[in-house]
Amino acid sequence: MSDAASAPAPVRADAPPTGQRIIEIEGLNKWYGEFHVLRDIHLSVNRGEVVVVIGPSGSGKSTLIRCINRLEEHQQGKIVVDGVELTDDVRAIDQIRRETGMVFQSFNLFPHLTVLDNITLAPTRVRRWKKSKAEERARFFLEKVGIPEQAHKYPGQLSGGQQQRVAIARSLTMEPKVMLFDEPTSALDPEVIGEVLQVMVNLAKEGMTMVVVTHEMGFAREVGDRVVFMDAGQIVEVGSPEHFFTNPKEARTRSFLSKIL
Amino acid sequence: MIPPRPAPVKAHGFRFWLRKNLFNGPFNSALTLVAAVVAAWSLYNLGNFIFVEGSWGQVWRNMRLFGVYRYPVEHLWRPLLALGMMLGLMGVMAGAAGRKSIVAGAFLPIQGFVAVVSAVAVIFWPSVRFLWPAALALGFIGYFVGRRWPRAVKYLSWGWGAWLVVGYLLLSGFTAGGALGRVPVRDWGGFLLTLILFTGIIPSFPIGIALALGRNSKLPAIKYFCIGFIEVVRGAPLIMWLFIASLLLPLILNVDANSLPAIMRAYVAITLFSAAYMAENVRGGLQAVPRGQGEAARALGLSAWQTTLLIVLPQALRAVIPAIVGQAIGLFKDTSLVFIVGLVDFFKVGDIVSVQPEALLVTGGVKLEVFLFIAVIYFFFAYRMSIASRQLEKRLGVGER
Amino acid sequence: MQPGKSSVSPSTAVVPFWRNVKIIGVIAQFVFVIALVAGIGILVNNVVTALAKANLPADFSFLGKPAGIPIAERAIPYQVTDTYARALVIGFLNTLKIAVVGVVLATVIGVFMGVMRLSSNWLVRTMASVYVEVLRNIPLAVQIVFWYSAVLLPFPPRISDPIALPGGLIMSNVGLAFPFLYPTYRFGVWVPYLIAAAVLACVAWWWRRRALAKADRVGSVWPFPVVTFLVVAGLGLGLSYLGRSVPSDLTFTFEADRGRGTTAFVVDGKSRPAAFVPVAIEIEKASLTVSSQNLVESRQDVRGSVRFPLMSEREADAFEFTFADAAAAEERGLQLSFDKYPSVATIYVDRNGNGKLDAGEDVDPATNRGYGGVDVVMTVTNFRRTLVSDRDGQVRTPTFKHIDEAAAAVEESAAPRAGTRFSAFGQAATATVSESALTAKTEIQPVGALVLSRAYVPVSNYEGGMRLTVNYLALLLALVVYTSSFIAEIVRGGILAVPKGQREAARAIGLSGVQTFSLIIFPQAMRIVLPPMISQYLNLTKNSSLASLAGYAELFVIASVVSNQTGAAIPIALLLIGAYLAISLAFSVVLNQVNARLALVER
Repeated sequence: MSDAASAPAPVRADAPPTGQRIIEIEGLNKWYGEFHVLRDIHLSVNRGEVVVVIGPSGSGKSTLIRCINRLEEHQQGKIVVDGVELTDDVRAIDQIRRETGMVFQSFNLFPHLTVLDNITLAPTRVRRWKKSKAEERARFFLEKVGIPEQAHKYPGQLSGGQQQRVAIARSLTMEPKVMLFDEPTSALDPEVIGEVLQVMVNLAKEGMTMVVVTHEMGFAREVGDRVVFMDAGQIVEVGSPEHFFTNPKEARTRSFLSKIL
Repeated sequence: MIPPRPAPVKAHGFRFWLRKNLFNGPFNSALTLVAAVVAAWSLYNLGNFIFVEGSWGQVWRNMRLFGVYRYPVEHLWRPLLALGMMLGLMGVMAGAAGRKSIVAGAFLPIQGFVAVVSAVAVIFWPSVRFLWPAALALGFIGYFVGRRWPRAVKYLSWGWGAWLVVGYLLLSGFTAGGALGRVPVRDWGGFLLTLILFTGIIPSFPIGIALALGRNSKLPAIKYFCIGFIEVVRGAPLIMWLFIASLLLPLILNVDANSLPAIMRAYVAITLFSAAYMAENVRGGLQAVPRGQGEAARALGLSAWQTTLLIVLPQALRAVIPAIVGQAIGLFKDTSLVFIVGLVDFFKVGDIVSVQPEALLVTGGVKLEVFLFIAVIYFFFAYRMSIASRQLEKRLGVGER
Repeated sequence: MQPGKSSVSPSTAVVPFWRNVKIIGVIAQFVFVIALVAGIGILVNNVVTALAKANLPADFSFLGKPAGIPIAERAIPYQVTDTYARALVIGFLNTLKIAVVGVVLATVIGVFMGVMRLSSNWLVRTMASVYVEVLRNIPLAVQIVFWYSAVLLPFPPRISDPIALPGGLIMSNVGLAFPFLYPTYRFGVWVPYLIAAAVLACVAWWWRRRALAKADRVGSVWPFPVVTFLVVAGLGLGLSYLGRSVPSDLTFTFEADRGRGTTAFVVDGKSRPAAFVPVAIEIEKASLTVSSQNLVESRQDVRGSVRFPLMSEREADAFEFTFADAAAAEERGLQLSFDKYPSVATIYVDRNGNGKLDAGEDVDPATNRGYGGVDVVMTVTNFRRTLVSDRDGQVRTPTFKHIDEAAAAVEESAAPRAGTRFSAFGQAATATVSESALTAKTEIQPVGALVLSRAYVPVSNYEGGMRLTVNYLALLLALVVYTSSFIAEIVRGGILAVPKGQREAARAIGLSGVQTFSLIIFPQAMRIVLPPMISQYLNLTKNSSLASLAGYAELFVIASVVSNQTGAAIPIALLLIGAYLAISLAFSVVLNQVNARLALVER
C-alpha cells in the first residue's frame, strides 16, 4: 500500500469468538521481489471450522495457505498454528508441518513409491511409528477414501481422482489437526471431481478443521462455515456461504461470482 | 450395423521386402546399388584382411600381456577371483531383476564372453585352465542366488563397497611372500588395469551426488564452490587432469613421489573427473523432479535431509540412469588415456606388443592386427553398455508417467 | 491459546541461534569456508615447501627463455631459439587449426550420416548405423593410433612415389599437399579495399533493411551485403595485379647445385626473408642420379624401383635416362619400364623379348629379389619451374648436378671397360658431374595481393602449397570420424523429435517429400540439435589434446614437453587450465547466444 493514510482499513476475517482458535494470522504481508502478493491479511480459524477461500487466479489465495505451513516464507506479520508461532525456529516449523496436512492441486504423490509406502513414509520417519502401526492406519484411511484395493500399486497406475484421494489419505494418516487444500480438484477430469469432493465433505462432517482454496461453490455451500473472497492480495469480503450466494456486498465479489457460477 | 471384416492380406515375403526397402523408385535403387558396392568392397577388404592377409600370431602369443600385463603367473588366481566376485555381484543384480530384465540382458553377454575365454583357457592356457571356469561359475552362482533370494539386492551397495576393498587387497597382496605376497602396482596392467580404473566410477557416485546437491544449494559459499569445481574440471580434458595429477598430486599431498604409485594418481584424477560429470548428470535429474515433490514431503513434516534422500534423489537418479550409463561408456573408453602417466593399460599393451622383435619380422608390421583386436574388445563392452542404456531409456520413458 | 486476541506486533520470542533456519545456513557456510580455506592452505603450503625443496620454478619467468623445442607444424614463424611462450602460442594455434577444420568436417559427415540413418533404404540405413555404432564405441585413443600408425604411416605410398592428382593434390605417407593462396608483400595494397568492402557491406545491409521496412515488405537481406562485399573486394584484388613490378630491394639468391634459394628484401645490407614470392627457375642442362631400391610398400614388395623427384613431363624439353654404368647394365640386360614418366620406373630384364615389363621380369634370378642398387642417371634439357617461396623465404628444387660434357667424354674413355668388377657399382660416372657449379637462370615474378602456391616434392618432403602432415591428417581423421558418429546421433534424434504433425501439415499443404524434409523438418531439427552439437564441438576441441598419439604438436603436447624441460609443473598446469577454460567459456558464450536466439525466434 503506497498511501497508508487513504487506504481503507483491511477486512478482518476473524473466526467467531465462541470457538477455540487453531490458526491465527495477524497483519500478514508478503512480497515476491517488488510484487506485493499478500497485503495485511487478518484471518483466524477455529477448531472444526471449514473456511473456503475463493478468488480469481493470482489473487494470492494459494500463497496464503502455503504460508501457513511455511512452504512460503512471510516477511511481516504473525502466524500462529495450534499455539505455536511460525518463526525462523526450525523446531516451530517442524512442529507446525507435523500438525498440518496439505493436499496439492497436482497431487504430488511420490511416483517411485507404492501407494502404501507413500502413506507410511512420513508416519514412520517423522512420527517414528512402527511399520505395522503405520500400515494399519494407512489401510484404515485408504478404506476411508474408498480405495483400499490399490495399496500396492504405483501412483502412475491410478487415475487422477484416485491419486488425489491417496494424497488425502497420506495427509490424514499423519493425524493432522488442520488440513490445507490447495485447489484439490482443479487438475481433475470433470467426471472424477465428485469422488474427491465427497471425501472432503465426509471429512468436514467429521469435524476436521479445513482451509480450502477452491472454485467448487457447491462444496462451499454444502460444508463451508465461512467463505473468504480474496482479490489482489487482500481479503475483500468475508461471510457465510448464504451471504455470498445471495447477497454479496462488494462489487468485485459480485463480478467474480457472476463469472464462475 | 456393419460387422467387422478381416483386414486385407498384407503383402509380405522376401520380394516385397526388397521392393519396399531397397528398390522403391529409381533414386532409391541407384542409392542401393552404390551402397551395395561400398558395402561389398568394405566387407571384402575386411574379410580379406582378417582371414587372409592378417598375421594374428603376435596377438595370440601375447594374450597374457593383454589380460594382466606383468602380473605374476603364480598369482593369477587373485585377479581372477576378484573378477569372479565381480561377476557374482553382477549376477545377483541380474538374477534379482529377472531373466528378461535389462540388467540380465547386459550380464548374460558378459558371461558369454567369459565363457568363450574360459573355453580357450581350458584348451590353450594351462596356468589358468581352472581359474577362468571358476570365475564363470561364480557369476552363475551369483545369478542363482539373485533369482532365489531377490532381497539380497538390498545389501548390494555394501557388497560393491566390500568388493572394492577385498579386490584391492587381493590384487596388491599384503604379506611379504606366499600366496598373498605383495605384487607391485607397476606390474598391474592390461585389461585388468582398464577394469580397475573403470571402477573409479563407483566412488565418483557419492562425490558427484554431493556436488550436484551442493550446486543446487541455497547457500552461496557451497553453491559457488561446487559450480567452480564442476566447471573447471569439465572445462579441461581428462588427459590434462591425468597429467596434472601425476605431476602435482605428490606435491599437493606432500608425500614422496615414489610412495604414490601412478595408478593411484590416475585413479584419483579419473574419479574426480567422473564425479564432475556425474554431478551434471544428477543435476539434470534433480531439475527433472517437480518442485511439488519436495514441497509435499516438507508439508508432511519430513526434514530437508529426509526429503532429499528419500524423495528427491531417488527420482532424480532414476531419471538419469541412461545418462549415467552413457557416462560409464565414456569413462570406460577414457581409461585408455592413462598411457600419459606411464601406465600400461589394455590399449598401451598394443604399443608394446606391436614393437616386439617378433612383430618387426612381419612384413609391414602388425599394428593393424593389434589395434583391430583392441578396438574389437573395447567395442564389445562399450556397445553392450550402450544397448543397455538405450533399453533403459525406452523403459523409463514409457513406463513412468 | 489466546482466543480472539489480535496484535500485529512482530514476534518477540527469542529463537536460539542453533535453531534459527537463517542463522544455521550462515553458520554452515562459515564452517565450510573455513574448512575450505584451511584445506587449500595446507595443500598450497605443501606445494610451496615441495617446490622449494626440489628447487623447481613456481612463477612464469621461464616463459621468456629460449625453448629449444623443434616444432614442425606452425602457423606463425618459429625457430628453435624462440621462447617457451612462443612455442606455447604455436601449440594453441595448432589446437585451433585442428579444431576449426575438424568441427566443419565432423558436422558435414555427421549430418550426412544422421540423415542416412533415417533413410527409407534399408541398406543405407544399416550401413549408417554400423558406422555410428562402431565408431562411437571405440576409444578415440585407439582410433587415433589406428589411423596414424596402422593405416596412414604404413599404407599410403612413400614420399618417393607419391600420388599426384590433377589439380596439384599430392598424397603420401608424409602427408597431403595442395595448392593454396597466400598473401604476398603486396597484400597491403588490397587492405583499404577490404576495409571499404566491409564498410559498404554494412551500409548495404542497413540500407536494404530500411528499404524493406519502409516498403513494409518481406525480402531477403543477406544477398545485398554479400554481393557488395564480393564486388568491392574483388575489384581491389584485380587492381592489385595492375601496374605490378618487382621492388628493387627484393632479391633472390639461388644455389643451383644445392637446390636451395632464398627470397629476401635487402635494405642497407640487411636482409629480411620475403615470404611468398614467386620465382621462375630455368636450368639448361643438368643430371640427377638415383639408385634403384627394393622396398616394401603398403605390405607389398616393390622391386627394383627407380624414383626421381616428382616432375611433370612439361617441366623440361627433354628427359633422357641412362644407366650410370651403361656397359654393365647392357651386359645384364637391364631396362627401364616407367610407371610414372618421368619420375618412377622399374628395372627389369626383358626375358621374353616383348619390350615390356611382364610378371616376374623384375626379379633377379640370382638373388630372388629385385634389381636394387643400380644407379640411373636422368638428364634434363631446359628444366623450368615457377615456385613460390615459403613463409621463411625458402625455395627448393631437386638437387641437379652440372654436366661437364668435356670432362665426361674424357672420363668415359678413361673408365674401366664394362664387365670389370668396379664398374658394377657405377662410381666412375658419378665422379665426373659434381666438380663444377651448376648455374641456373632465375627471375622474380611480379605479384598481386595474393599468390597461388603449388606444392612440389623437390627431394624428400613437400615444398610450397599448403601442407598437411600425416600427423595432422591422422588426428583430424580420427577426431572427425569419432565426433561425426556422435553428431549423427544428435541429428537423428533432432529429426525424430520434430512433431509428427509438422510432417503431416507439410504434406497436407502439398509439399513434396524432399520439400517437406528440407523446408520444414530439417530447419526445425537443426534448432533442437544446435545446443548439443556445440557441446560436441567443445568435446572435439578438448579431445584434440590426444594429439601426442599422432605426433601432432598441439597445446597440451607442447605444454607437457615444456613442463618436462623446465620442471615448471605448477605454472604450466595453471596455463593449461586457463587456456582450456577460455576455450570452454568461448563455446558456452556461443551456446548462450544460440540458445537466446532460438528462444527469441520461438516466441
